[in-house]
Amino acid sequence: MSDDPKLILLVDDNSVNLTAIKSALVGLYKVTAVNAGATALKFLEKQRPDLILLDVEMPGMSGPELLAILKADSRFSDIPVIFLTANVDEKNEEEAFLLGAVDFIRKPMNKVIGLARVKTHLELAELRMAVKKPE
Amino acid sequence: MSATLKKILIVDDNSAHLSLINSVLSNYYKVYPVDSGATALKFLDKQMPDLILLDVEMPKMSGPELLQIIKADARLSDVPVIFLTSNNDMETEISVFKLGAADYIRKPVNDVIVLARVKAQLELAAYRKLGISIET
Repeated sequence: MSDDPKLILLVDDNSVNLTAIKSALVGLYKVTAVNAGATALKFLEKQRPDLILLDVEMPGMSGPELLAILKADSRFSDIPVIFLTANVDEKNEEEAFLLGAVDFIRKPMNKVIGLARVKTHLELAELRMAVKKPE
Repeated sequence: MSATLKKILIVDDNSAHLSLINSVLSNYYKVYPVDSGATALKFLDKQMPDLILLDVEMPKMSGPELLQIIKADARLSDVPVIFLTSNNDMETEISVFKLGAADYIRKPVNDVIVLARVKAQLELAAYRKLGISIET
């Protein structure tokens, strides 16, 4: 298994959230932070992140809209996506799973909770890939 | 197929919660609901669940107290434990991760959320058991 730090793509139009979440992840992971769905898609054309943290509500392309594009593209469909949701919005949280997100994290993100969810899904994705790969 | 169903132990002193969660999970898993930490420990002496859903606040033995016993027992320490927390209690949510819980779910549980979290932790535990592990 590779020792390189995992790459996380963080998509959020709010620069304060972007900075806070990025600072919780750097040191453990490589983080690319972008502030729009369109920028995220451009990044994805060039690099494959191991996990995507995706804000739900964004102007232009929303988180669910971007997720739908990712899920329809076989290059990206198995990248785990965790939604960043506004506090106490259970409808969105349920919706996130139904759209194909692997989980959600409430904003403002608590570092312990955020890191635990990210770690779970990075590990799960890597183990799934290891199981799929022939010897 | 029933022989291959994963076993889930639910520990919650509130019988309404217990039956609600039981009804969500029992379509997919073999569910063992118990209403106290002491009963959970008796169950664990005889059987090994694949996952434990554990209420935080219970009279006598609390969820965190039971988790500590589980984590200190080499036979049980790998079983993923997901806490059931009361709404808006972030301090508890943070503390359960530090104690070694795999995740938490807020009560009253939402079907979709509980099934997704349980499935993810069961899958992760199954891979780990296969000895496919990675450094994180």
